[in-house]
Amino acid sequence: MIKGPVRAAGYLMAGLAFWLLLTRSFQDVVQYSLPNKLQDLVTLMSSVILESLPFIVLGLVLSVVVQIWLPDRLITRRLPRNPFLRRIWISFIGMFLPVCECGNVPLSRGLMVQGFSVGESLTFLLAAPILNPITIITTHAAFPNDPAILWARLIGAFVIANLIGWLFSRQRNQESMLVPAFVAVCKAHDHTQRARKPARSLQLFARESNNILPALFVGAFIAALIQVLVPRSILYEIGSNPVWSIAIMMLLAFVISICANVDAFFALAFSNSFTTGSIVSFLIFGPMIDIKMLNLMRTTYRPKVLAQVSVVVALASAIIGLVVQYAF
Amino acid sequence: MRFDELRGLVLLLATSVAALWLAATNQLQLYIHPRYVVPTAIAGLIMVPLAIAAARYAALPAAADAPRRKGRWPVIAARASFVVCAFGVVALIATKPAALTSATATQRGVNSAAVGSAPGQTRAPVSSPLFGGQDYSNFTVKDWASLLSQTDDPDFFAGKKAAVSGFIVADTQDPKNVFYVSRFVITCCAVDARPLGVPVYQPGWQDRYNQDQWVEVTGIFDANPSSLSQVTVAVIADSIKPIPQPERVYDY
Repeated sequence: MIKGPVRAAGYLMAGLAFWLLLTRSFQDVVQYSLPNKLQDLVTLMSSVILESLPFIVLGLVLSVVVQIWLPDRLITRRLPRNPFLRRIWISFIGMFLPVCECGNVPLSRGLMVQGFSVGESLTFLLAAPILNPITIITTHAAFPNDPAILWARLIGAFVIANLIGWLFSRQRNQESMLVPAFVAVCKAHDHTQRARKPARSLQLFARESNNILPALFVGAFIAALIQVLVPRSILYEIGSNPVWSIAIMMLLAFVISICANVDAFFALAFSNSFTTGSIVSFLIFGPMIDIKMLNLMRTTYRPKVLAQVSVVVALASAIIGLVVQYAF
Repeated sequence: MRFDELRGLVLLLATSVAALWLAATNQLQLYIHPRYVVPTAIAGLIMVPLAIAAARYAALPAAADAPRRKGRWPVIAARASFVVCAFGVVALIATKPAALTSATATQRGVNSAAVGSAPGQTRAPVSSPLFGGQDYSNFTVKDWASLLSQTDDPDFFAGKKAAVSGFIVADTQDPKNVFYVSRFVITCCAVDARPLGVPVYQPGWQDRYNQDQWVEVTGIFDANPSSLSQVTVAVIADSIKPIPQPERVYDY
């Protein structure tokens, strides 16, 4: 006999399907159109959510695998004990798990449950979107004649990720950097109940969905709203200024919230309008900090930590952009 | 079971059901690049049964539950989050799928992000090999926009025939006489869409056509007769034919 929650979920599913059929069927009979700006807000928000779906799914599944199915602390035991070398190794985990940045958040939560410190999880979160084979290939494909852009991106990401990891490893009270809900998750983690792994996997999946999906929806809404309300022409007019172009491209990266796997092709469109340094700053800053990512990270890290990370990443990305601008 | 315990799964279900329906009706491309259609549909297919199965365990007693935050702001934030999530579910499930409109094209500036479009940027001279020996008969909006951003010399364009299709976006400087035949170019999803367009000089076009309407335009390039528009060359149309919105609304 189907238990209450499954029955409820079943009804919910049936209700959604019925509603979908109803509204879709009537759309051909009842002609309506939303005002353009509202329609575009809907389209933009939906596009971010739909495009993120496969990566979120992958991240959630990997997080469950890491927390429930891998032997306790398997990954952390294989890392060097020296904190500096550990962070270097962690920087390259993305080479083996090329998940988009939105999928990395649930995965980093799983890694922290496995024993990663806050600093190490931040190193992973910031490095993995860029130091992975897909991003490397697409960046090279977009800028085949500008190897400096690819190398600046990779080296910049490595340096910033390790810098952040080092800065936050110096904080003695690691728990004070995490939201209470996640601290409770880490404390409750228990690998002794091996017989109930499938059930625990589904429970964890439900809980992680509860944390990640609302954050994704809110992040997508904010990104879409800003894009609908703020004219982009304001940004383009100062594209040729070496300093302002960097600031503007980083702001664009923050608002656009585009995945690191393909942002190089987006940046390519601006390569003749904006300076090389600003393109590099865009390619480094965007995968690390954007509206969508900040909202997802809010499920795990306290706002103060996120603000500090954002400032350091922004400054470092800008400096790297300036160095590239004047050195190459 | 409280709704909060299921909200993540509800959002996941709504997204997955919408993704599957849009993929089945070939409308997912209104939102995302075609390369992501199959992975998104597969993710939706996996998530529907997984989300239903996970619902059974969503309300299990949790040693992991943290004490709820108290105070006015957390309550306001929670309610705002609920409203936004509900809006997102309605957007995915209930609204008619649609491509981006001329409002976004105008807001982002048609051709503003085209190669070579920056103000004051040195453009290639017409004598450059870039412009020699090309077959323009099959040029699309994207091709013409790219060329227009490289040079706006009326002598180069004079007499060249254009046959392009796209949706109408009014020129911001001279909306009564000039419009763009536009297409969005996307890299990843609609959020990064860049509007490109071919300017068309057609006085009084608004009497017969609407903004956002899809049209097929044929004509000859010449110096733009409009004194208000900043565009130096435009297509002088000899035929403007309304067409239905194509299945492939974006360029890539």
